[in-house]
Amino acid sequence: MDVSVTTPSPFAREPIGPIATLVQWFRTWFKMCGVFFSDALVYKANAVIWLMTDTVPAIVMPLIWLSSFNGRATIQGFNPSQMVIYYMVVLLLASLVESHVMWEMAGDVKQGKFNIYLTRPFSYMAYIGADNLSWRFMRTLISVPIFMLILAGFHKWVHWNASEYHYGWQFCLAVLLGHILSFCLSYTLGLLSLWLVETQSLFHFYYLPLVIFNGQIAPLSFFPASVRAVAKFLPFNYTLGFPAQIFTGTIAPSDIALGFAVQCGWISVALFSSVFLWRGGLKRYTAYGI
Amino acid sequence: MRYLRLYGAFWRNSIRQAVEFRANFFANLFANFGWMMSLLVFLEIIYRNTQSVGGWSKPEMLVLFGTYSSLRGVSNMLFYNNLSQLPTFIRTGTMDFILTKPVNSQFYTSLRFIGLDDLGQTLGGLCVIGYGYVILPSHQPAPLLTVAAFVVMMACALVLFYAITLLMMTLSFWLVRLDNLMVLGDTMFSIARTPISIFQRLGPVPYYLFTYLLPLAFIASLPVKTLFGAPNALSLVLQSLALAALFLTAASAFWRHATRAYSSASS
Repeated sequence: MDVSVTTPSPFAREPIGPIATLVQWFRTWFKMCGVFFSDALVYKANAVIWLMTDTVPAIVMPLIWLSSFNGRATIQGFNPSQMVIYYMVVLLLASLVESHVMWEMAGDVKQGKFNIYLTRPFSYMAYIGADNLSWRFMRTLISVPIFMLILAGFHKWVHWNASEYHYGWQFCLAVLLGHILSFCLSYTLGLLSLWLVETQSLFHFYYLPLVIFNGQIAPLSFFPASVRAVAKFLPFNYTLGFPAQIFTGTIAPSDIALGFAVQCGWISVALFSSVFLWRGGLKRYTAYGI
Repeated sequence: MRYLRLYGAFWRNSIRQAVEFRANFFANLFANFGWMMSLLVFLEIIYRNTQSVGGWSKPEMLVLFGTYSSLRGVSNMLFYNNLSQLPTFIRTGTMDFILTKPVNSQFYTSLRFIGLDDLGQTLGGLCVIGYGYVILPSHQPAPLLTVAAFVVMMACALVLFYAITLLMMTLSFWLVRLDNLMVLGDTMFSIARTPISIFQRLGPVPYYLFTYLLPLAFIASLPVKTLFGAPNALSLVLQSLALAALFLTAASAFWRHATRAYSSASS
């Protein structure tokens, strides 16, 4: 675990300047990820149950659509194989990308655990980010074999034609930005716990558009044009649906470019407001609960 | 008789609580309504792209969703939320306190609080059923006997729902550290709102699994099918009566076994 001491890393020389500080920061941060990851390993059973919430739709959704083709070759440009793969990718990404840190943050604030983080020499956001990322990886590790099994169950419909699927840099970038976007949104929302006493119902308001537009129900291109025109500029579709549509090759190139722009735009908005919420929130926060 | 009086007291108590925390009551009402909206959006999208899902037309599917939501609302109100507390009771030692009370522990843990805010989901479900009937192409009312069969099957469905939930939650006497067992229940029951016949695509095993071993098909799918005139209605009614009785007996037996084997968590 203690990488920096036992093995001389290329960065072991005396660091100088801001880059070295950054390197140092990331080294500490990754070490923290390791600690959180072994922490997450303890809760394997819980992780398996949370995983069920993604595996059931991964079976039911493709089945519903497969029962809807009624002899047609495609629905909205999706053939049966693409339909199955789309939901597999979306629900696998739900483990890796979609973050729900606001619940934990609200709990930290309510129970006074937040004070501990304030006294530590590392920013609260970095802690939450490391914790979240480790938990996401843990869940993904467990879900991959399960999703392989489900995919095997759908072998009659899935024709793996490598040229049809796009898992190059565009997909990877969309996933990475999707994770950052989802984390920043839920982190910013979580900061509201510093301002408000009761945040639960507010969080539920976030989940309503999220579950409708994030692609779990259906790809955004299945929605009526008027709804699509609005949802295109909302952040929700750019966590799961957008990368999955890149993967299945069911999105226009112009929409891919727009997607990256919207992702970056919302990340900036979330980060910007998180700075304000953090500063003002700290002034309001009275360490209630000690 | 004593239990009926006690249950009356539970109701009075819960109504008083709901009246006192009105803001919370309406917030929950609204949240439930929101979740239902997302399901309707899903149906709307599916039927923009197809006429039938595994033989189910849009109005039929709406009635299925509505039926499931109403049942879910009633069960949440009566017992589901109570049973979801069970892991907490066991972990914190409140369970010891309940076991020493001079009432049947299963009765008390299952029915203590009545969540009136879950009425929202039931009302919403009834609206969806109504909407489904309005857009039904033929406005022929179902024969009285069919409606009776549907009502009997729904009563059995409620019992089944209760028995399966109790069976699952009783596991928490052993799986003390598993604090999200209820999530498993939510996920499992969400299968019940889809036509179970679509599982035939994956072969006979999943289909029979959800029909008899874990009879989710009898919770909404088969009752609604009966309402729309299934040819083997009588056999389905008898099957659901038998399954409800079987599962209720099994769940009670399991609960008795668990409470007897239980050796307090905290001391």
